[in-house]
Amino acid sequence: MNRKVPSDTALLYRSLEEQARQHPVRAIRLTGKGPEPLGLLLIDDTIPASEMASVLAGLRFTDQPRTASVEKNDEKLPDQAWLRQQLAVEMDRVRQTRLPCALLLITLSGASPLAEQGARALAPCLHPGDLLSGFQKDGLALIMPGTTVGKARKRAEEMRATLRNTAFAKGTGAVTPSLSLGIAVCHAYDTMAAEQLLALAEAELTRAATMGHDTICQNAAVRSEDSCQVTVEERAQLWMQPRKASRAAGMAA
Amino acid sequence: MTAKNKRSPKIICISSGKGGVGKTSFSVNVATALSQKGKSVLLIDGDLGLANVDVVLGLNVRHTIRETIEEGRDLASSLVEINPKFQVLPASSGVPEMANLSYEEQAFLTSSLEEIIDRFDFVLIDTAAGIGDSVLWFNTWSQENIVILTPDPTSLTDAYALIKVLNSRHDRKRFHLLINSVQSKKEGQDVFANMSMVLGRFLKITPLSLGAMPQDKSVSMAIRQQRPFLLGAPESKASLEIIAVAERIINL
Repeated sequence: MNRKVPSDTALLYRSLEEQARQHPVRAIRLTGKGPEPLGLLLIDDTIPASEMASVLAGLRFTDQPRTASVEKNDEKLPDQAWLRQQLAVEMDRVRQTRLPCALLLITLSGASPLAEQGARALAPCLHPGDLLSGFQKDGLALIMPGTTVGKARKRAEEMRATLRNTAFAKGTGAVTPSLSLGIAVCHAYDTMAAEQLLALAEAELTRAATMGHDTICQNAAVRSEDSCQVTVEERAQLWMQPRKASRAAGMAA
Repeated sequence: MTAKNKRSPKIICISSGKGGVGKTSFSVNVATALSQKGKSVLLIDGDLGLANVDVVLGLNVRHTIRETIEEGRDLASSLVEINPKFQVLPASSGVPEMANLSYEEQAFLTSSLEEIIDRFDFVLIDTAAGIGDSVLWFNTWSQENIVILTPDPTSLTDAYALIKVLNSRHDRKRFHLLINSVQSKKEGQDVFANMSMVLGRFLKITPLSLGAMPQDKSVSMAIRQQRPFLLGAPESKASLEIIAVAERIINL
């Protein structure tokens, strides 16, 4: 059967998932090899896990409640209301999974069509589970579940490079938009409301816009890989002599 | 939604930084001791790529956490009963993919674990060595963190590094130290005092002492026999200490 999936199917699923949160049901995305979800399974919350696993195994699907949100060329970006809904879902998931969630806001100077073009340009940079939407009139918002500040920063740098190398069309000519990127991250040890995370990211975006030069700002220090390295001073203290002396005493005894 | 009258198990993560310091042996024996004290215990093999709990217990496991993540198999069906109060959730060995779970897989594992842990008083997680993602995540997911170390400088350094990462990147502040393979009580006290001093000075952390396990031949013999030393040599020094440690864990 050659059936074209309507462009708003992904939005329908999201909407149903959102509604499902208010009911004693569990919403499970059924995903295949392609980018589009194969379906959405709503299952009563009282069904035992063993029975549910058995049903899913029978369908040869694993429980994958989320999927990538890579928009197609002809699709319109979800709006900010949708972004807020998804952020609320993700903040709940941070509490449940104890894994962080990053929000990246990008503005491209110029008219709104640039955001749509930017979204298409960023498609190769998106990971499974990412949620991309529009933000304000000329911006993009990307929710990156499970992403720390450091990884969010690296991905933002990658996206900035991609956008810089993209030929944006405006009218009959080409434009080179200036970029601003703001990152906020919610950690399990410091959970917050969706609005709070959005406000933090917006503040970083504003800071980045003020600085100019396609700057990326984030709400926490990016800790480099060696920031937790045990220092010489710490090592010296850890290997202090009294311990060796006590060991010698123990051996003598 | 109907409110479930759920029990809240105490979730305790057991890590070390360095490998080979006796994490799995400790986990198996302390779980055995807790079960002997009437507590229901689930021991999760958190070394998802190089599991050892089944080896230490001499189990022949058919299903592991891997089947749950890869095939959606019910996690409860992988549980192995050691005694009526002690169950083990085994992991796979020799599967590098399992050592680096994706966000989706970790999230799925979380929800699957939450389905089965309510029936237990204690959930112990024996993690892999090192400071990999799964080690850090299990430590973050748990309520209490036990760090095992020996008096060797390598073990001290790695345990300290693990605590440093958990503290600075994941805001963990409460650590219980278990000093393993000490040659005397005083050595255990000295190691704890020294580590405590360094943690306090550089990280502003005050660790709690869980005890010091003495070097004991019965431990290595039990490992070769693939059974807990608490059962093989219940009167040994190591067994007496593990019983005392179990009592402290009950009172955490």
